[in-house]
Amino acid sequence: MSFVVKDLVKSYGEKVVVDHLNLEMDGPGVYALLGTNGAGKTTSLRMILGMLQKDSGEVFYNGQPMDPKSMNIGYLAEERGLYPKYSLIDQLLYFARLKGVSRSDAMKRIKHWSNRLELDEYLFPPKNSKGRAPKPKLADQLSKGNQQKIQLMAALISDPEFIILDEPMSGLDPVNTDLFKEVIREEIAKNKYVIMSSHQMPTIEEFCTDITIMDHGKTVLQGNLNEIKKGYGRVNLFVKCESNGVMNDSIEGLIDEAGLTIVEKLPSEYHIRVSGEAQAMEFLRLLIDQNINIIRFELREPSLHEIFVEKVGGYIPTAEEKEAEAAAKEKEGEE
Amino acid sequence: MRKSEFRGWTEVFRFTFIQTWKNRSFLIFMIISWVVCMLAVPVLSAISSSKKDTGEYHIEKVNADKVYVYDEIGLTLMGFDTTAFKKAEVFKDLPVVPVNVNPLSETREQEWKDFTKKVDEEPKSIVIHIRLDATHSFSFDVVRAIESDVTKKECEYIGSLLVEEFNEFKYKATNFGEEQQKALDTTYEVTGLLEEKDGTFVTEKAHISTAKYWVVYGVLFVVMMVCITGAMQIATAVAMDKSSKVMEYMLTSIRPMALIFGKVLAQVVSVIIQMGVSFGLALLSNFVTGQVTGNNYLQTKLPAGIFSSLNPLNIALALVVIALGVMLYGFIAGLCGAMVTKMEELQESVSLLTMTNIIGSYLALFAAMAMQKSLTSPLFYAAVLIPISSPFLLPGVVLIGEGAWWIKLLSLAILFVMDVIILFTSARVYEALLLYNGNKIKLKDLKKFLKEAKGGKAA
Repeated sequence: MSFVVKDLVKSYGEKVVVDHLNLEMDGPGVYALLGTNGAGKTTSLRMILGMLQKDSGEVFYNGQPMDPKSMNIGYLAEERGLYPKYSLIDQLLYFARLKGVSRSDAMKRIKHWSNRLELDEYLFPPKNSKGRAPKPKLADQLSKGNQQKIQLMAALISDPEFIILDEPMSGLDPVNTDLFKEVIREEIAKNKYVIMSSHQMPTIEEFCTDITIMDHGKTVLQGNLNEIKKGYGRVNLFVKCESNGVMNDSIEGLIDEAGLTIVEKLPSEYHIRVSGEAQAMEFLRLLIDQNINIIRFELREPSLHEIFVEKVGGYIPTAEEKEAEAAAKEKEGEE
Repeated sequence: MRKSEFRGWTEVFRFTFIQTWKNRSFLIFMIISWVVCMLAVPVLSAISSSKKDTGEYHIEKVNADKVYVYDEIGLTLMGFDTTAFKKAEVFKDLPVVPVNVNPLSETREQEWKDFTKKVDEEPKSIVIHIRLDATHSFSFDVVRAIESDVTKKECEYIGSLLVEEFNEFKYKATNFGEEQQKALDTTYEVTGLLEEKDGTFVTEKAHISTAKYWVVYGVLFVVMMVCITGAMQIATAVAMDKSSKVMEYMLTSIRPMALIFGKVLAQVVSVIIQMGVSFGLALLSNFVTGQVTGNNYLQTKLPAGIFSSLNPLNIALALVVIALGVMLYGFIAGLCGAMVTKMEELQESVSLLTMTNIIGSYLALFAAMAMQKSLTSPLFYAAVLIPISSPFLLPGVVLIGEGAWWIKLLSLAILFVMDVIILFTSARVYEALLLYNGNKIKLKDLKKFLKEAKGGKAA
């Protein structure tokens, strides 16, 4: 079982919107496709799904060229779409039938998902005091979040083996975000291939094992998320001390003394860049020697958010690069 | 044509068909048209019979108190009954005063002028003036004073009754029977005949009658309305798929070809059912009305023999042409719908459809007019063979039994090929523009999009 994308290219005129995208999943799991707006994520997903013609490249599923029309794929598009004036059940049945689900199975699944996603009151409204069931709601009578739930239902109604979620959590309130996360976790547990695109980095970190970061159509970073983070090393130090103006001045003095850089200064907390564990320990000793009351002292790898910003917005050198840079500086000093 | 291109079209067809019939505006339009079709015959029949009961003119009170008969040509002397209008109940007590006129008098005109002065003094009198007109034909004038109390309706009614009486008088004078009278009343056409080598004859018709022209015109108008109504619904449905972004989801399971084909076919079937049921209801209503009143309204009103060539084959051929025509305009509509990203842009985008429809219908209309003069004019051949006008003209031509078989079949074949070409073009454009959400596409930009779509390998 594998999913491979090889040298996928798409251009519009002179502009290359996807430039030789490669990605690979050895087996079921969650793969994240990240990038800023216009990076080429949605275009890539559309090409994988066969709804957009590719200029070149190949997509394989289980060693065979992938034919999305003959596969059971669930797709939650970035731009949500429902017929505003048609009955929701009619639409869901239609989507299910297009995926080859029988009418009776589709109805059972609609009931299941309606209950799971807490949509019964809109799809199967209870009878009123007169014993009459009010008309089910139309799509344009639902809130944006509930419309999104219907979209998720449509994506999952055929019990797909391959799921593509483009910005699944955007615009959801915290309660519904948690509900979506639970559902996604359940699908992952069923050993499915999931490709997810999102701007919410904590969500990606929560679900994904492998990532590709795209910028202007090019792949700027790719690999296993843990390995990537390990590669950067534990260079982020978060220090929180008892709030005191005088104390703060002395901490900043100590940071200078230790030769460290402040990445971000919060009211009573510092995010400091260190070269590694040894430098962090040295700084901890300094704080203890100065009798500063430490509330938080945390050394960790960069977050996905930081890596993302670095790759497509700024630049943070990896541990190896830092070491090499330091060595070069040392060498310069010696000379 | 790959089978997979069409896979799933039945589901699209079913969904679109059901949603079309659930659509409130479609239902209201359909119910209104069905009610009109059901009520048209009984209402027209009732109006017609009420006219017959009270005469063509509904007169409650007669203002005239006297009718003079001024016969300049001695028709009364030949046996013509100028009091025949008294058969009508409203005129039965109206006195008739014959005026002594010498048909051979040389001062006839002056005598008439003098007599009319008398009428001016009698505001309640009417004069029936029987004379020879400039072409030496009999003429009946029903005269009243300009400030008369007598109404126009009274004069017209008396005039129509006299004409009726005169027609009967004519036939009696020639000793013709009822059958002969009917034969004389028929409008005659000159038919050229060509003798084949085997001695049989084939008709060489030069043109169609006015009555047949009106049938062609009527069918043309109905088909044009059906095409434009159906096509607008298709354009709206396709644009809604795009603007509501449903398309992106659908394209994971189905090809654009199947989408547009299923959608158009559902609309075509809906429109044809609507039209067929309307036609059937009108016929049923005519039958029921005929049973109740003993008078088949359509049979009496339509010219005799107008549909003498009507047979199941002709009806089937006409329906196939109409279906292909609605499909052609449907595919063009799909193209227009695919070119918009927002519903607000649709109005502007359908100009391609409306222009094609207008050009096609005018071409067919002019050709129908030309058919009254010649059935071999280049305009007739052009309109029957050009696919944008043939769906409007050909059904009528087929139903009245005109036109050679080869031209009908050639027209059908061209229309079918054009349907296939437009279907594939629409699907290509549809595919190229389905996910396009930028500015409104102009026709000149289409080429670029199609080229780009063609340049890419199929996914």
